[in-house]
Amino acid sequence: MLKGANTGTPATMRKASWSVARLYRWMLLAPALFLAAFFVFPIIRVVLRSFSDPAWGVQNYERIMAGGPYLQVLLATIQTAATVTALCLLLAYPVAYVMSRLTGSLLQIAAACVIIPLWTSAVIRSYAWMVVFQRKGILNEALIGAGVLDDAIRFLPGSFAVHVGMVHIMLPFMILPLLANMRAIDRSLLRAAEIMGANPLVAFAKVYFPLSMPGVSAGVALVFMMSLGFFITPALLGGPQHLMAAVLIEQQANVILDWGLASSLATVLLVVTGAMYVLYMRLTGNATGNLKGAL
Amino acid sequence: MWGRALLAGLAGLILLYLILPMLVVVPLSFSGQSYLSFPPQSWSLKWYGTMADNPLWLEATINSLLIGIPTALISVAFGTLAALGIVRGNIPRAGLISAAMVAPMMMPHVILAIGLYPVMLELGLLRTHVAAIIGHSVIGIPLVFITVSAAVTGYNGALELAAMTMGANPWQTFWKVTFPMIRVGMLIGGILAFATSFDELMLSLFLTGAATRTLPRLIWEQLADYLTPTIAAVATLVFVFTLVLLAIVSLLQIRRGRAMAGQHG
Amino acid sequence: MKNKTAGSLTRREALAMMGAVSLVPWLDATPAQAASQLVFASGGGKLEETYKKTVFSAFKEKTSNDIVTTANEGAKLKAMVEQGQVEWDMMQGPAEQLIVFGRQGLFEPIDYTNIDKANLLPGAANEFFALTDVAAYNIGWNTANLKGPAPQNWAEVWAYDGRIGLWKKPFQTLEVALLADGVAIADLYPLDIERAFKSLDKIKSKIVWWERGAQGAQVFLDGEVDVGAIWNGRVHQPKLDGAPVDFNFNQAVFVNDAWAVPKGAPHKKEAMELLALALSPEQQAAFARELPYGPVNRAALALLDDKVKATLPSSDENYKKGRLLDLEFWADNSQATLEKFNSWLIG
Repeated sequence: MLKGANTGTPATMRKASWSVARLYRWMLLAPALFLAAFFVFPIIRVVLRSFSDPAWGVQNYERIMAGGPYLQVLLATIQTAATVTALCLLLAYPVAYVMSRLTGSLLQIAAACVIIPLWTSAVIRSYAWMVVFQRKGILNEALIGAGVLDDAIRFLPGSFAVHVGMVHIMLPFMILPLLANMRAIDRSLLRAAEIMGANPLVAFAKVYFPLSMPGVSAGVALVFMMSLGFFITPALLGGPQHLMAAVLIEQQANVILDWGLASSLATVLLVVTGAMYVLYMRLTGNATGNLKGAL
Repeated sequence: MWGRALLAGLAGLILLYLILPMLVVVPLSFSGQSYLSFPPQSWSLKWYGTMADNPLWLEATINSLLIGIPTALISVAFGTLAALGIVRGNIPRAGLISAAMVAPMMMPHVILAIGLYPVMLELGLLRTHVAAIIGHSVIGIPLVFITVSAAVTGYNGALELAAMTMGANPWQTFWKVTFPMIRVGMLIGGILAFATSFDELMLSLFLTGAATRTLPRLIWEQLADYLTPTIAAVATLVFVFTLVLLAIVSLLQIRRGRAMAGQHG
Repeated sequence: MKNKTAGSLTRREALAMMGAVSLVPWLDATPAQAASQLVFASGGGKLEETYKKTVFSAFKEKTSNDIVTTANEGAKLKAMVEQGQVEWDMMQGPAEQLIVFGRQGLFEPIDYTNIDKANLLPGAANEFFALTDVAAYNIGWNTANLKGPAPQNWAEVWAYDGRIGLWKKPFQTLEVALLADGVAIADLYPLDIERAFKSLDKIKSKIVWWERGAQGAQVFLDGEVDVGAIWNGRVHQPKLDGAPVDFNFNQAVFVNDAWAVPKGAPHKKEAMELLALALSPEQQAAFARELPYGPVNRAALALLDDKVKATLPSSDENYKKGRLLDLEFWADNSQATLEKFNSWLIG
């Protein structure tokens, strides 16, 4: 049942294939209409506003391009999202791998560990990390108590603390899709490869890892895009260099009430990250043999 | 063997990292001081009392559930349809269409709220829970779309084809072949959509009415001046509630497992 | 098998029940507020609690009108006014923000006929909003961390060898930076922005930025910072409760909460009555007894005892130590200055 099972199908199958595809295409209609009405339509208005507020023209975009903090913040946002995604993948893969082999109460305990943080407000979690990382916080006290440090390290605000906080929020979004995918992987394939003489690492790299790609690409897409919208955690735990696009946009939309500039910032963010997503789909789509000829 | 133990240990540590903030929050909720300091110098239950005295907490929790549960259901329905449609429908420009499907995730919520406000007004839905449910579903659909797409990509369409060729109707094919394959993806997408709605602030503020508080809004207000252990008590209760829910689920599974075993025996 | 069916039935029943319960509030779409209910948009927290305890309950007694509260997001105000569908009758917010919103045409002009303008602080009665209290962005320190004497002015804060906490916004923080650099408090405005950044440059590595008020209080309480700037209302109660924190009003920047009536508010007339009541000496005094935010109505000070007055930024004793934030300056310059500030932060 691996790739290539579609080739050489008899005529009846091909006919059925055509009608199934048509059926599935119809299925797209309901969500497409929903998102057209409640996402595309409102966003078109917002995009129009970026060209019309305060006057018709591209002055808002000129202002973004003219220097100031905007492009730099946008770049930093994408960079932060990419770092968080990479760290999440690194941590989530072994966890999901181990969890995919668990059963019974061990699995339930592990699942509780993944799900409980999801239910806890990101604001509260960020404050909890402040308690851990502060000067007289748990971490500093422990390190000093163990004799590793003589004096408290300054973690706040800083890269280490902010990444620990952001990865913590995004990790369940990486673990769960990976877990779903890995539990569906047929382990006899792995065993077969080992029986045929492949060493376990090679079997993993050649057989298991490619099969887990759909989970990896789902997790990466989820975490990367959600990280772009990071707001409160970088504000509480991060230094000045962790100023995120969402914070700038919120300032303009909510405090200064310059909706023209806010809209154009959001539009630039959407276009840049949308283009990255399309590129990404093209790469991973080809890698897993799906969405072929997508573009 | 050593490698396996090492891997399990590593996974255990990462899971510990995931619940570490709760290990800070739970003791804080029993603090005897009126400001946050860790570890607390004295202990008391008064923050649970303050919370019980304030009907707003229960109200806000109910509001958040009334928005979060329908959001999860709508997101699962539409996200699944979209994933099946795009991955199995062989449509042209699938890449662009799926980019459009996930675009709501990249939009700052305040911008989405500004865009949705006039639409909801014209539809007469403003100030209702329905408006917030629709708004949250816009963000929830992409989450389900991505998790279900991964599940659909993970198995081969030939199975469905075979079922159809053998004479199964589309409905039977879905329930017997497709659904079992994507069930976990749907469940996980639904959990993520619910969690996102449960912690969303801006769309709820814009689209629900005055006096409709959701939990994130109330937590936000409680944080307006300085931190008191009340928010730690709230987080602890949500934590306990989740544990109880998970325990019930696992008990049900055990009972069902026994019932099934009895049936076979 | 029997067990299984029973299980799924109860689940279905549970779902049906949940559906029925959840339909109720959906159908009850909270229509336009009833005639006697005013909607008040505030930042929440202690401020809103105190309004409820003092002026709102007095208003209910006087006029039998109820007041419900909601969040005061600026973007929602603009969306409502643009669409001509305003839910709020009154909005509370920082004065430096409300003046910007007023210039965008989002507020009704204030009706001062029933308000004794003569007793209000100079600058309190604006065309589109009225100031309602006086808070301070002042020098604070952690008493457990502090080495040596407490800082008596901003220059001493800047010179302190330790961690300095400041608000991560240009408003108020740039004022303080200039005062630290030796600008006389009388010559503060218009702010010399470039000089303020140079002053901040000198302590850049010592600054611990705080973003939200609650976070600001927390970094002082748990000793993350040694000295710095904080709003008096955030550390006042913790200090009384025994937290290791203290503050003074030397060279403080006085800031205000303000109230304004959104353009097209459904209960404009009642809102103006509410404002008049809030600015009355009795209500101003009642408010100041609950929260250390001083009255803008001077007549209220006569109703307060010395112990309360000592805590208030706008008492005669404290008010001369600092300076009121120049609202007009920030209304003209907030956008450009915010841009420069953000550039400076990441630069």
